[in-house]
Amino acid sequence: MLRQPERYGWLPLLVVAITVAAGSIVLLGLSMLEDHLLNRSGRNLQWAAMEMAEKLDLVLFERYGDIQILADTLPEAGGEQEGAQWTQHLGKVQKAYPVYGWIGLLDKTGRVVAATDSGAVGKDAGGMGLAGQIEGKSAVTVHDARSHDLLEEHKTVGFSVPVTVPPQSRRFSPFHGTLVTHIKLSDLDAIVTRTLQEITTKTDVHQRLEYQVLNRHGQVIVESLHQQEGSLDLVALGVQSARLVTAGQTGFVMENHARRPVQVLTGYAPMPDRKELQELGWGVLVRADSKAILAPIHSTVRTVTMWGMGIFLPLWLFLLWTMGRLRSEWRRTEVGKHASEEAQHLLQSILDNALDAHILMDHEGLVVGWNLKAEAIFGWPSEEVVGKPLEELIIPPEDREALRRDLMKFPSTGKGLLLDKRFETEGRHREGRPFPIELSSISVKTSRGNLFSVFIRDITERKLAEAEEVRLWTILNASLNEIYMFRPDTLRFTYVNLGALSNIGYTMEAMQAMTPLDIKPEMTEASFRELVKPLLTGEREKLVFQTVHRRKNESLYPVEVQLQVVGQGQNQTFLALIYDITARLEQERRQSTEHAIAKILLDSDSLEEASQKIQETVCRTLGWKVGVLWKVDEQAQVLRCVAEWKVSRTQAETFLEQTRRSAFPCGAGLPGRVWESGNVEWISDVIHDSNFPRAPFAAEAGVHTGFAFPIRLEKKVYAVMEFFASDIREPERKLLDMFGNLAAQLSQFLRRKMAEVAITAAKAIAEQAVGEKAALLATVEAFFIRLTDSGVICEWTSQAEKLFGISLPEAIGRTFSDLPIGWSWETVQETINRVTQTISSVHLDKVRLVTLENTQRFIRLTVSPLCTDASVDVVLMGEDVTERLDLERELVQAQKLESIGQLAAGIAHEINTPTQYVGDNVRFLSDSFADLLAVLDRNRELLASAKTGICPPGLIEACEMEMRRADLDYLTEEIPKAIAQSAEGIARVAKIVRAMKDFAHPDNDEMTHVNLNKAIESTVIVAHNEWKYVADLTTDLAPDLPLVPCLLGQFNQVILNMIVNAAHAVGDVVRGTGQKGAISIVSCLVGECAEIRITDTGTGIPESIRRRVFDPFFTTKEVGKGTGQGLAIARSVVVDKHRGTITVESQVGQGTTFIIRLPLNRSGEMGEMEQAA
Amino acid sequence: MTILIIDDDQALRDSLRRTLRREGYTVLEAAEGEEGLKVVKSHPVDVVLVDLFMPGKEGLETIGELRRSHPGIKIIAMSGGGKKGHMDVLKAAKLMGARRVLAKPFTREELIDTVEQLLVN
Repeated sequence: MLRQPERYGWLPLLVVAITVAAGSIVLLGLSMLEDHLLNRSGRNLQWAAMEMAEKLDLVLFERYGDIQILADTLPEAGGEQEGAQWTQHLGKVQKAYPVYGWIGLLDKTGRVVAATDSGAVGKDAGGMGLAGQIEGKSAVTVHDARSHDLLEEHKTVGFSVPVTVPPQSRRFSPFHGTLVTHIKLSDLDAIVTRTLQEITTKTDVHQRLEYQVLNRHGQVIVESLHQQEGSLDLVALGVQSARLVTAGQTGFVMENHARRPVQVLTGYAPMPDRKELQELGWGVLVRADSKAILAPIHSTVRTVTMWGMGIFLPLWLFLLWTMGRLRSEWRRTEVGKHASEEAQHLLQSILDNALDAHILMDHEGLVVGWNLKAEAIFGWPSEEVVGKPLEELIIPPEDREALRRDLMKFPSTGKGLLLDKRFETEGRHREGRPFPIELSSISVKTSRGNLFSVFIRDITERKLAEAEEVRLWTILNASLNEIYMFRPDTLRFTYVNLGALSNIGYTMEAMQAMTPLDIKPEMTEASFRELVKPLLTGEREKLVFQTVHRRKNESLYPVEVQLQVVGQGQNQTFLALIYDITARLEQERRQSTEHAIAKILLDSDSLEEASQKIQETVCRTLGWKVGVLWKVDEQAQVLRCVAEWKVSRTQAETFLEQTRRSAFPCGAGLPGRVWESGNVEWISDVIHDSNFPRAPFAAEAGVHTGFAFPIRLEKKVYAVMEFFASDIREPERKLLDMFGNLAAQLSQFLRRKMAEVAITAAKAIAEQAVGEKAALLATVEAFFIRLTDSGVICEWTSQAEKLFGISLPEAIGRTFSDLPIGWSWETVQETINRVTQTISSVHLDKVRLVTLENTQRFIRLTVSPLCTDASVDVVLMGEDVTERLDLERELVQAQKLESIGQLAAGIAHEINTPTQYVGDNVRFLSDSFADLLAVLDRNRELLASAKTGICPPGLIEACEMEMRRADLDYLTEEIPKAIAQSAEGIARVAKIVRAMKDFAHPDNDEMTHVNLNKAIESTVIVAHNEWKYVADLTTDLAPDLPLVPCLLGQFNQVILNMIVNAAHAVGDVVRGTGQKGAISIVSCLVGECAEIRITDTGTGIPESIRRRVFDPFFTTKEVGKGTGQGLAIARSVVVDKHRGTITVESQVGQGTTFIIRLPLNRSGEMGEMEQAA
Repeated sequence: MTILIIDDDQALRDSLRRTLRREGYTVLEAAEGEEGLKVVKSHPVDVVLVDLFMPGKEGLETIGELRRSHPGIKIIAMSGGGKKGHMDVLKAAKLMGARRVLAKPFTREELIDTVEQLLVN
């Protein structure tokens, strides 16, 4: 396909265009010419019209002038003859001047008196339309053309002039008549025609001209054609020239003919503007057919055109044809070019795709073409090589000279050593390395000289393959293995290597007639073919099988055959590698024996057991018949038979019997000899051996070869193992080695067994120890966990199991901190870390633990380091102190209850007494009220009677009696007292109850911010009974004392104890004295602590026991009075629980002060406490 | 009939006095043991009501002294321990010689009955 749109397609178009243009130009020229011609003709026509108009005008003017003269020259006549004279005169004139068509003389009335036309005489001119009355008109009057009766069919132009007598003096003369002359238009016509003819001849207007004379209205009065009757009003017809000429214009115009459908050129000219002939105002039209005017041009053009066509058209056609040819030629060239390009591309693709390198070289040795493979092989990209000399690129230096010479010679000789040939040589890669190439070059003669097309193949691989093949054949031949190749169809051998030939014993020629079956006694052809079928079908790539080969000398040997098929299709051939596996089989047998032995040794528990099995194995696999084991009897210094074995069908019973009974001392018999020498002993035939006591029995059993080897333990011979065969065998290196190994293995076995026994014993002891330790630890209530220095659990007692719910196997080996234990790992881990760092123990008094059953327990934990040689282990020992804490709490509670109990009596008394008297008082008041009421009643009676004035006599008395009975004085005094005392009593009870409520706090473990003063006051009230008899208790409690974090219940307990102690101390002093001591309680803020001082004026505490007062169970009171727990508890509470201090100052005989300090800031976590031990 | 009240609580003495006087008894008072003993020495007293919880001469001691000095005297011991509390103390009082024991708070009836019972015997 052409790639570009048609080239030069525009060429014909161009030609056509040029033609068209030329034609246009010509046409343009022609039209211009036409115009010119027309113009010229027009002008001519116009001129003609003008001439004609002038002529007309002249003629008419002459007539105009004539008539005057005529008028003037009228003979004077008179009478009747006047008319005839005049007629005669007129006739003469007419004869002289034939132009006059009619002349006539009219009288005043307008009657014709004389005329050239005799018939007209006597007629009324007016009636005839001649002149009308012209009287008065002094000048000549012109009458426009019209027809009139006189001349009948003729149109005339009339002149009339008045005649006067005397005719000479026109001015004043009276009018006599009118002279009228008429000119026949047809005569004018003749003049015009003549004129026209003159003009025509003068100019070279060759065509037929038409003329028309129009009157001032545009009516045709004279025309050349004489075609129509009647007048033609051209103006009314719209003829342009008529219009123009009647307008008084001169010119020429192209217009359509009025009557004929043609274009005409009309020249027009009016009669010159003459005053005298104004009346007429005629115009002249001269026309000619345009066609006629242009006819010459047209004819010329036609002629030229014809000639031109005749010449130009063929030329033009020829031109087109040429162009067509040209284009098709060009197209063909294009196609050809494209085809050639395509061919080029195809060639290039082929070359690029070629498996060989292709180089095109010119006669100068420069590279012209270079394909892709060349790039690949030689490493030069084509851009870089084109134009370069080939020799420098790919020819090794040594060959370049040869090429150059060849190139020089070739043009002349057409031959060369290198050129136009095919051979193997060396090429050079861009990188400089040479490689073998096969080269084929031919020369191609071209216009530019010889081109050499060179195909080059990199035969490196081929060379290598060839070398490889050679090597392979060499190897095959040199191989010690037997290698056979045979055909798949006939099975005949095609190749047998040297190794095979030497082993099998046949010659190569002989083998070529043989098949594998000939040397395989165990296989038939059918079985063989069956065997090799998978190779032929391609199912298997290789077959390996064992069989037996037969040598030429009939000897057999076991072989392993590796069979393959090589080659394809027709060239398939079998390749067999034969391995003489005799030795291998032996090896295998020995190895399997060794393996079996090793296994037996692993499984056996004793030498005897192992020995039997080993002997069985050895005999079975190696073909021995009898095996015996002798053990050294240290005490008796003999070898005794401890185990034996024989192959089942062997008749060796007596032999074995004898063997069992024998005991060989050192040196005696085969065993003794081995024992003595410590080496292997081999007897080829024991029957004939000198030192073989069992020889006769051996002969009976058919035993010939015997050998034995020692089994050592700790360098001494421990046992001897014997083997016997039923044939004669010679010692074989490999066999002896094997038995040497066996001996060594048995020694090892013995050693191992000994060690195992020792280990077992040791293990038993160790286990016992471990068990004891575990049992020991199990008895202890505390749990015991041991961690390695990396935090891995290595010991975990049953208590730990129970407490944490994690069993021993689960715990052992795990990282301690990974365990799911519900305690504060932060604290525990931190403690562990501290322990390992500081190498000192740490106690944790109370560690809260949430067990796996979701119960809360408290643990007392001690973490200690345990230094081993390598590392520091960590030991965690601890116990569940939940119960103990509970007990403690209960004890505390009991203590509290006890103290309360102690106080109970007093408190009860304090409450009950008021209760008592309030109740009694109420009764009293009730009774008293009743009494009072009785008194009142009597008094009311009295009053009532007093009011009436009548007083019953007994009334006053009764009244007085009642009053006495009531003991009014008594009541007056007692009732108020009773009321007051009752109120006070109730108040007292309320106070005590409140104090009790404050005091008896529910026990909890949470520190709260406590108003110590209030607590003290409550406790004071509660203890009131204890001190009220013995002392005056004063308090001085600092009002600005802040709230102190405190366990309220326990604090109250402490204060209570202190108050009770103080009361007792004071009581001891004041007892019997009737006096009271003093107790004071002071609270104040000292530094960061709240201080409470309880001072009493008691007996004081002697120096010696001052320190012991806080000891548990220490008391100075008698039995039954106090348990001695008070101060101990106080210390525990203040110091342990509140991290405060409690101290005592005392002086015997003066008194004692206890000072309690409680810290204001919180210290210690809730429920847990630390104490560096 | 004369009854001596030995109790350190004034209000109690007054209320008991009011109760007993109403019943027609002559009532003498003492605030504590020593004083009580003096009164007994100087006046004929039939019944003594002794409060066990007293300063100075303790209730029990007083009872003992009374019994020693006036063997015929009838002693009623009063304790403050409620009806059920401190029975041991009351037992001790009886051991010391108190004929009867009244545990505060006791009713008027209980008091009158106890006194009358003693006087009858």
